[in-house]
Amino acid sequence: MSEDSATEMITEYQDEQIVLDTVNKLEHREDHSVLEADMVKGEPLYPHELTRDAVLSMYIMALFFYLSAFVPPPLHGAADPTAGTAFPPPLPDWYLLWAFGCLKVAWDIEFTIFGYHFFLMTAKVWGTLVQGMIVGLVVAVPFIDRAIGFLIDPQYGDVVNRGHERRPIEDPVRAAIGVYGIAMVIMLSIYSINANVAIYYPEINTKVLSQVTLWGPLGCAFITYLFLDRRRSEGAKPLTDEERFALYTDGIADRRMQRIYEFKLNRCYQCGLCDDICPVRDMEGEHELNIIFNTFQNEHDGVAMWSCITCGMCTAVCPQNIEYVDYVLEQRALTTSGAMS
Amino acid sequence: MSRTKPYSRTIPHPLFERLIVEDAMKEEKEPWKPERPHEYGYFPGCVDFMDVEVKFTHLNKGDADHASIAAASIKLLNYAGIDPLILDMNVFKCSGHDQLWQGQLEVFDTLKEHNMRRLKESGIKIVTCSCAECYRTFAVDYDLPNTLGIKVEHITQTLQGRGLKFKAPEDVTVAYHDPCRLGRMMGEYEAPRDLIQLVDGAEMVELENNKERALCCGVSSMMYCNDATKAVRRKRLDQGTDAGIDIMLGGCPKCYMHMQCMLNEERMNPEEGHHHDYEMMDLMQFLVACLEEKS
Amino acid sequence: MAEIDKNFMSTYQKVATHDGESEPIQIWAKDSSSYGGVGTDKLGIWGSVVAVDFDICVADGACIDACPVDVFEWIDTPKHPASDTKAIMSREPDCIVCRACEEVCPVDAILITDPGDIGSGAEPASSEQAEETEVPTEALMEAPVAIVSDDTSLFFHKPNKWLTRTKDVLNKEELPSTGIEKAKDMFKELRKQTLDSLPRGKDYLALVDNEKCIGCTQCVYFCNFASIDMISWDLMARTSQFESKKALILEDTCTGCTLCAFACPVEAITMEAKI
Repeated sequence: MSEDSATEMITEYQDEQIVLDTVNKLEHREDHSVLEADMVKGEPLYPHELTRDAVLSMYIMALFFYLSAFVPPPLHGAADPTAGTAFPPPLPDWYLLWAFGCLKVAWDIEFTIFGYHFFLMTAKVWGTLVQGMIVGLVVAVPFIDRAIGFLIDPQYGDVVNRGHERRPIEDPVRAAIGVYGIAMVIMLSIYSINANVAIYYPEINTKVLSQVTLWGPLGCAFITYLFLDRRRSEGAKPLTDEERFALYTDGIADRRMQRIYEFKLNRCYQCGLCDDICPVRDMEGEHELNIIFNTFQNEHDGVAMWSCITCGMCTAVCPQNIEYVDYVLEQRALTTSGAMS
Repeated sequence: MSRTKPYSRTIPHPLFERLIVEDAMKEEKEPWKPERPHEYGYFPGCVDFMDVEVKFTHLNKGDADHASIAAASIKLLNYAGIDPLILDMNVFKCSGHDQLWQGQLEVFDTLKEHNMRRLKESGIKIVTCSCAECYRTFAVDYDLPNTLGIKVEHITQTLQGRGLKFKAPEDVTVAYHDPCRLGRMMGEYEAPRDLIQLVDGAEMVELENNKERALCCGVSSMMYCNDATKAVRRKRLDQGTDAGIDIMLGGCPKCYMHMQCMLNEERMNPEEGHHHDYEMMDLMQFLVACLEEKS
Repeated sequence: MAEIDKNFMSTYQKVATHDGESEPIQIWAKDSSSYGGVGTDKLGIWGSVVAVDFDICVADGACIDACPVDVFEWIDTPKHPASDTKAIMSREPDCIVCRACEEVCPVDAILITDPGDIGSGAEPASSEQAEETEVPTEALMEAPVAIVSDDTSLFFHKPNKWLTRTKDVLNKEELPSTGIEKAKDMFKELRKQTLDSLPRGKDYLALVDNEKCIGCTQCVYFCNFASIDMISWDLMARTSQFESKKALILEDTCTGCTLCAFACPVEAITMEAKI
């Protein structure tokens, strides 16, 4: 076979039609079709979800009409602030009691400079300062996290915020601060209703309560720190996802046994780092293959599952340590066993 | 015309995988007893099987030799003063990593049951593997430390800190390619690097993506060697050229196999213009090449 | 005498041998009187695995072109009525049983028998035949490697001196076996199974499954009729320099010899009946 004649033949048959015919033939071969198990789609918004929501809301409206027609509300006369001192005094809703407590608390911390008296802990200062601080902290959280992430991992900190979550046992100081906050909220709530407390427990007067409110949370925080630090030095590890999954679902016999991966996936906040780093996606193109997103939508058509090279890069960058490869492992086993039967 | 296969799948896989499945399905029940007790066991894995498959193809027009990884590992273990029990593939079977990741749980369970029984009979304390995939499978999927009380080590961990000395016959620049299974999945980045540092005359450079961010060799569990995965591999090889290395070292025979395949294919088709002028080697092969002559 | 006798092994007798490259070639004839030796008009059937009826052979030369492993070469047979030269199977042990020659022979003078089937025939297997069955199975493994290694022009290879050194060090001492022998036997068996399960012949056509094809070009190197081409497909990729390659069988020249299916490492090539 001379080289020239071979080249001629190849050139001759590079005809587009022949290529198309072959492709056509390939596409219609039965044993290369996509598995049906992989074709499960999510529920569409229209009409399924819209209809369901409409029916439900109409049902609730009907319930309201029924109640207002047959069960009239027990309305009394309007409140009169001039009628005299109400006792017990009116209180805010229970979830705002702690803020109310902040305004009421006064530990009478007082000092004198050059003959002037300063009351540091008056209700006004305390209430404004503390509430402002709390709101300020909430606002500052992302910036604090980013700054700390940068300090922990200077190589990647500027590119990726690698704020892996911490379990209390891994960081007793932060856990103690958290416990202090929670205890403080509870104590301030109790302190705010001191008048009510005094009715039932006359021995707990306001002075005792204020001292407990000051020192109690600090004590809680200290005990927490000591406990966690000791556990950590004993070598205790935070619960793994599997252990927590078992803990949460234990005793719920009827509940569908969720896969661990789904459980972990609930923590995904779709930052997209996995998608950015995925080497397969990098090669296949932006809109062609979005492996993890497709999986999240349960809309993969089999391609994503089988073209994953299980290199684990997505887990390496995931702030939540979600193990995509675990999912691939499970899903492949399911599909293969399903296809075999 | 329909061919009967022990499993049904439409994912491309080499004949090599059929070999392993065929081997897995053969029942072997006779008890086995090693001649004398050993502390260490060395599991060569399926490198021999790979060799047969790859030797057949033209991609081995180069001189890829997978069996030499196993031989080199034994040699190095002996050099380090360890006398391992060879977990011979006549007695053992493939660890089943590929089957697990291909979703063939039945085959994997058969292999696992067989190997667990054999490991129990062998009476070893520590099993060491030269393959990152076997290492992960034994440590995580078999869970040997908890089930049989056998410690699992990668061979780099076994050789680490034993006072070995190597000398490269000539100055050479090398880079270490982190296998996914050893690096990201088992978290071992330092042991292979430490070993490379022991080689006198070998300068180690890091590739652009290393350690946790190391790029994959492109194929996992011998499935889907397609264009996208080849592109992943080519990207990795390009990084080697950028780093100006002479040899790229891998910790996993599969990485060695896939990279070597790509390099040979490029040399086979020079008209395509992709060329990487360096060699891919397994770390064990490189270390054996750097053994000092005994006087 | 339209074509070679399919049952010659049981109906014919062994009358003589001729020197092959490595092993003697068996010559068969109806009886000793119907074989006259080279230079006469009575030649009988030559070869066992690759059997050619020299009385039919017209020296067309198609088999020599078709054979992927160069089993055949010319031998002068003066005074024979059909032709003055014949195709002798001097490298018979190399045969990979692709049956390409069977297909191309214009007078159907060639019959390929699988080496494994020779012993199971009516005639009891002699020691010589047992040897024959051994060698071609080995050839099944080794022969294709030999072909591609002749083809040096396309391949520039710098031997890996480091690996050579590794092998040198390892060869110096005896290391325990890791069980490679088992793999070799199993692999041979598997290749044989693959080939046996494929239909072959003029009525069949090789078909590449694009999903499975990994673009390794192995089949192109194996195809003896230049009937496989690597087609480039555009791949929508961020790395634009990369394009996809898939094998495409050119129907007109494909002889259905299954050689590409044999070569394919991922079993992407199957044989389909011609439409």
